[in-house]
Amino acid sequence: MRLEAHELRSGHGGVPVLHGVSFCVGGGEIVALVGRNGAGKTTLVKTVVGLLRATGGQLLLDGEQITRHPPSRRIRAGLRAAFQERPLFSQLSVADNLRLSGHPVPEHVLAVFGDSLAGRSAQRAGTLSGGEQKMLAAASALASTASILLMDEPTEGLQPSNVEVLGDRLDAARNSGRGILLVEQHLALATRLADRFIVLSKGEIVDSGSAGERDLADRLSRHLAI
Amino acid sequence: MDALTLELLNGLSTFATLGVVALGLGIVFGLMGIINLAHGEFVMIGAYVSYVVHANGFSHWLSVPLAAVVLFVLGGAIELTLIRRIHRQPEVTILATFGLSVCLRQVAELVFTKDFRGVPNPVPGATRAFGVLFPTYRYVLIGIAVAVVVATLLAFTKSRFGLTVRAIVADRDLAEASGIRTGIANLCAFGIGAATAGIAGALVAPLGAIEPQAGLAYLPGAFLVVIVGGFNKLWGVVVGALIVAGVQTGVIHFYDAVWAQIASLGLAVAVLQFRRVSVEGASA
Amino acid sequence: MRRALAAGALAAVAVVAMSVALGGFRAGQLSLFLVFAALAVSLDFVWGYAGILSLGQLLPFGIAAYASAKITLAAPSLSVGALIVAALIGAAVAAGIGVAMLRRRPTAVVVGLLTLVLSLTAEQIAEQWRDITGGFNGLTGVPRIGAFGTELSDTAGDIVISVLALAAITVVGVGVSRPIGAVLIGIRSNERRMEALGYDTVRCKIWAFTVGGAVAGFAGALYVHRTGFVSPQIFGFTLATSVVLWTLVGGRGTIVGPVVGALAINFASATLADVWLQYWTLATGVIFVVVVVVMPDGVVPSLQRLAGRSAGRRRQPTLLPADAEPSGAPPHDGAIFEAIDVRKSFGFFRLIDGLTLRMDEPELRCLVGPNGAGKSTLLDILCGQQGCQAGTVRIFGQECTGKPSWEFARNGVSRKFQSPQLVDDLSVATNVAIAAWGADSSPWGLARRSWNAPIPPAASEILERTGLGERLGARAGDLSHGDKQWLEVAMALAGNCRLLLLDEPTAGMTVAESLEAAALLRDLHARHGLPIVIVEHDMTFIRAVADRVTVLARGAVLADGDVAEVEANPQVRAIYSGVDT
Repeated sequence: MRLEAHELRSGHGGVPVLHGVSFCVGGGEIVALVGRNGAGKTTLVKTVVGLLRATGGQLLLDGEQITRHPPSRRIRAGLRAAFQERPLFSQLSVADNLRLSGHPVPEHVLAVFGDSLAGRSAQRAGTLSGGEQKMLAAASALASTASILLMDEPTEGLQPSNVEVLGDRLDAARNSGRGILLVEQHLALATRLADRFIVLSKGEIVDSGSAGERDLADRLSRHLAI
Repeated sequence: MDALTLELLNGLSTFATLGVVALGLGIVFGLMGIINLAHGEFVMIGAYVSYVVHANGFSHWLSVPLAAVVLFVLGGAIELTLIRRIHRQPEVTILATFGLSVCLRQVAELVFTKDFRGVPNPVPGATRAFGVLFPTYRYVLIGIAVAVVVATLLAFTKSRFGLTVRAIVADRDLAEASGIRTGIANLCAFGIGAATAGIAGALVAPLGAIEPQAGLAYLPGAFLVVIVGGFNKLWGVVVGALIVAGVQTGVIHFYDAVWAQIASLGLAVAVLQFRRVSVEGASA
Repeated sequence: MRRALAAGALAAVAVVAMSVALGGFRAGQLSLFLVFAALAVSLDFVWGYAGILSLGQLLPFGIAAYASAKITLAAPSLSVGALIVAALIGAAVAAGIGVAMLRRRPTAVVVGLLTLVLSLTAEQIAEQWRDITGGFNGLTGVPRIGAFGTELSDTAGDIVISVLALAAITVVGVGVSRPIGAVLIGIRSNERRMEALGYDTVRCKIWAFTVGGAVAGFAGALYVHRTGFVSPQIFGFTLATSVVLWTLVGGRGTIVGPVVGALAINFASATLADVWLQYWTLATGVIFVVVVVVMPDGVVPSLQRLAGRSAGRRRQPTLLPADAEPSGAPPHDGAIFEAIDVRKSFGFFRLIDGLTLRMDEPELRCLVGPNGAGKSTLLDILCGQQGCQAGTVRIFGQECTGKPSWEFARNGVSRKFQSPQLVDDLSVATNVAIAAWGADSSPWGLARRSWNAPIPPAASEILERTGLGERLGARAGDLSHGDKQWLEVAMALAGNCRLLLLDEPTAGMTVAESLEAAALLRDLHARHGLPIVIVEHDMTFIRAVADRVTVLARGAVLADGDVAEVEANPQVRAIYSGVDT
């Protein structure tokens, strides 16, 4: 399955954020979307999922127009996102969150949480730490049957060992033929995993490249350095 | 002693009526953030359903489920045609349902005229229990009302549908991004809210006159219950109904109905003063 | 103001002429409907201008009507005096409700609900409190209007009532043609913004509710004298719906709208009701719903728009150069601002965690940091939009912790919001003028002051350099996004601005535009010595603009220094490249 965006424009509250962004994510590849705060990364994810209306351009999933589809229809067509902020329903219990994701939670997630999660399924998800919430959201996205995953800064707030675990799962998902758009502000994981890079700045794509290119690391750190 | 028992039973009966009337209001508000000023008219239509059932010679008990079905369909239709367009603008919803209530009353007047209609009591007579005589139908009403409230609340807290609706309330965006069809869930929530009002209307039909303006009488009480019970907790309806019924019965016993009204109103104002109410409901 | 008075006088002449010409029955109808129009205008003042959705405007109307009936029945010679008493009673009722209800900043929904429930409860109380209110049948036999024991003839009485109702409407019309009208519209459409400009919005709303109550009370007394009786239905759902309908259909936020709405709908009802009573009532319900959904502004404004008349029709302020220069730091002890050990958490999450920050000399300071570092929260705390749970905030040496944002604004803190917060319905000039008046505003003062607005040089410069100065009459909502941003900045500078806070000023700008913005801000800072704090992500912009950069992380200060120092700081680099996490 293949997600394509052509000249995508979007924004919120009348403020334009994306000024015509084109990219694609195919099956079996991880595309890293990097850029500083406020570059429009989260806006892009929300526009692709359909939470924000595209004000211009097109979104295609396997060649089929989804630009005007409501989010639920895009999800059924094979998209799935794990969000950066509010990744879970914080007022609902952990168990309810898992029920809503609609798929059995894989063993490794429970393993990461240790025995503690089992005893905490009645607890409100908002009482989990930020990292635990992100891990659970990422895990339920991975556990879904979606073929294109949008992961918005999944490692933010995760402890290093969990970043490793998550990286392995993302790698496995790619190898099983799924396409992943990995939004990352931090380069460590992105350089380890990604096949291709897109750099977003002020709502425009200012650079892109493949993992093999020699000067890529320099270019990326120049774009991202403070 | 007997006088006290009787007051308690009266209070219980007020509580059951208030609870089942306010239930739908609470559902629609708590889950969708919508203030439905036409809720009283839904109750009125439920009562007319039971009148039609009676006029055609069927049993009163048929009217309770039938009112639920009729009002579910009507509520769903209103959600589809009206509420959906204005859903996220609380002020507009208030005004639109205000106008809607005028329409519904007037349609009722066109169909049934202004004449007072009545439904005979299906369970006449009184039962002696706890040492006092109390109308049997009121016992039945208390039983059914409590059952309806508890069943509805359980459905919303325990079922898969309830879960998706609660997810929409908790975070609409995330719910949509989880693949939940928020449109259908809202349709059902509004329909169920209307259906419980229909049940309430059919239940109270034998107790008073049925006329186009009948719904208005229920509105202040129901809103007091929702305000006192808390806006975004479903079980708040039960708590609110208990408190308002307690205050009203108590004050009527010692003073009179005027003071009962003033007291419950004062209670609502006090609650609003002390609790910062997030009345944007769903979005909060 | 002159226009409002002239319109009122003209209408009065027309009404008198019509009443004399039509005589008897029609004159009576006209007077009753003008009383309703005055009631609708009172609701419009409260709702269409001040934005308080009162579904209980019948409370002051009805209570004043009962009081007036009681007074006149007891002492018939007082009937004119009873009108004044009624207005005062209406004001007192509204003031009481306003103080009890509005100080907690309830949402429109709570206000609508509470006022409606109050009104419906009043109906039940009036029915049951027979000793005072006469119960279900109410009070009857109230004499028609007169003075000193003489009762006027029917038509003469009707004409007097018509003229008095028109006078009440004209008073409101004159009122909203003063600056207070524009300020109330501002509060209705963007209360947070108005508060950040220095307006005590709660006080303004209570004031407006009280004035609306006085007008409604006056109308209530006229009603009693016109109809001769008052019954509990005066509080009822039917009239409550009707008055909202007249105002809504006619058009909120105009005075002509509710008057036209009340007259047209009532005359239509009176004419059609005999024949098709039930269908007509149903039709009003349908009209109500359709107008709400399709034409929320109402008929009169929609017609005006069709005729090509826009917001420019409202009275425009004259922007004058201010004599004094408020920009720049005033004499003060200690820092320009200081935040000491400030803490703020939301649930379990610590947004600001023991943050200490100060600015001693006027400088251009940028706040940067990763998402969730607490930048916007800090800005909110520095201008009083949010309180904090612990710590101290001082502005120009003045302790401001926990004060509402309008007090911060009056101390000289101006804030530009991240997304433009303008009063969309008003013109560019009126937006700027509102900002200029905010520094010292009381409702009565705004009702009396002139339309001149003294604008400090810094604000005028922004208007000139961005071309907004030539488009002062344009509706703010119609501006492009970039122009809106600059209008925001001009508004922030137009008030008593001694410390400027900017939240992501370049959001939505292209790279080239943001560099121009940097030059403009540097110039502003250099020429007026204005201290500026900017929250920003864009390093290109920051390099171009900042004297000094403060890096926040996890709700506290991580580093502080000039741009080069901060960029070289290994901890900062770590945060930004993610090694640290």
